[in-house]
Amino acid sequence: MAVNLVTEYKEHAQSSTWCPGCGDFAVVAAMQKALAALELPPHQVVAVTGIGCSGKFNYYLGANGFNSLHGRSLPVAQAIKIANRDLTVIAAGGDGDGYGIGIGHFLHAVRRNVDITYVVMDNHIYGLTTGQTSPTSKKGFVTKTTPYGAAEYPIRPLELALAGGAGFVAQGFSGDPKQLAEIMKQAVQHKGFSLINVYSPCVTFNHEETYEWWRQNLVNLDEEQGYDPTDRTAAFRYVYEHNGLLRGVIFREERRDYQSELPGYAAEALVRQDLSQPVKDRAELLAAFM
Amino acid sequence: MWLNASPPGAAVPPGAVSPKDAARGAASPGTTPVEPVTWMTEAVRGSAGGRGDRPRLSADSARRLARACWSELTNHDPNVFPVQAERRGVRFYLQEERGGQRLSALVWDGFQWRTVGSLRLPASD
Repeated sequence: MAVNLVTEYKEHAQSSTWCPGCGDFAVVAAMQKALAALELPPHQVVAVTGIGCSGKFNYYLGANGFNSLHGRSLPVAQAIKIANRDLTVIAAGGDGDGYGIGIGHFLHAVRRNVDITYVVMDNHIYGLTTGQTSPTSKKGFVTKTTPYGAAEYPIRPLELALAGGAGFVAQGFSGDPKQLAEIMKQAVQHKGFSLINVYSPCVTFNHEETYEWWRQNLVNLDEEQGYDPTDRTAAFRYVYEHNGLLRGVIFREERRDYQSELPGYAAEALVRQDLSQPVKDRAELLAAFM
Repeated sequence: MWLNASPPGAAVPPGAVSPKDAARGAASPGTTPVEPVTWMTEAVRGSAGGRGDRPRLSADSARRLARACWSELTNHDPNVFPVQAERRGVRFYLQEERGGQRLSALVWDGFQWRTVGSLRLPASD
């Protein structure tokens, strides 16, 4: 079943224009595997993206897709989920899209806790525009826009998500697609907002943080004895102490999602409800607001 | 067929299509079977020496290097991404795609890795 579903996703996907070796290939492949393992066929899944290299994620995943504006994948994804709770909704973007122009939506999506999964392909650089400093670029990072090194400190998405009350925070690495697929499975199954920040190397423009560099510097939480991903304070401290250089599930907590908190939220998806009210009722309704 | 940005001196490996043409689904001239090591040998010879900081490799040396890279690519740990081999400023990636695999050759131009060609390999079954 799972193997057939992976094939189904691939059959619906478009041909890729990403650079050879781009970490985003592994992200898409891991998501296809995760969705197939959860027996979610393409027609039950929708991927929403913004702008950037990551904006092609929905084209290459092979499910339903919505390519939104720069930094606006999250509001669209949340709206889709609220309107049709039967869909599995994945929002995807890059560090520029999600932590730059989209940072406001990110923080509110974290606290709102709509049941969606947000995958950020974080390469610490703007790749599509040929290599400029991004919100997650380290201090001192040299690019075309910061020839003397980045003067700013980077955004710390994991701490932001933890501080914002996220119920599921994880970090993956494109170089380990097996672990990434397992993280994705857990994130999709999580009831509420889930963040997966994926270190996804830009092989073309980021020459410092290569696959090899990440392999040497990332601590694998699956191999850390005694790490408790249900302790938010400990998770926060661990992320801080390791400067975010972790991979695995960092924190998870069962919480009621946004829909569960809404009084009167219909038990059935909007698309399945009977909206064929008599014209007279609609006129009365309209009159009440005029 | 080729990116104008290809570094000077880079030869066009036979049977390759440019990344743009590949993305458009263009049939590779290499659909008449091109043996990967031969294609890679041309890529190595075309790039090494093209930047003026490395001596041009002899055909035999280039072929040995291409063989070593091909062996590395085909004996790769399946749980590790990407499938990559690199020698003398030439990098190769082998990636799955619908209906087969794509072998890509890239060269370092002093600023970035540029794709100089890719070869579509048919499914092995």
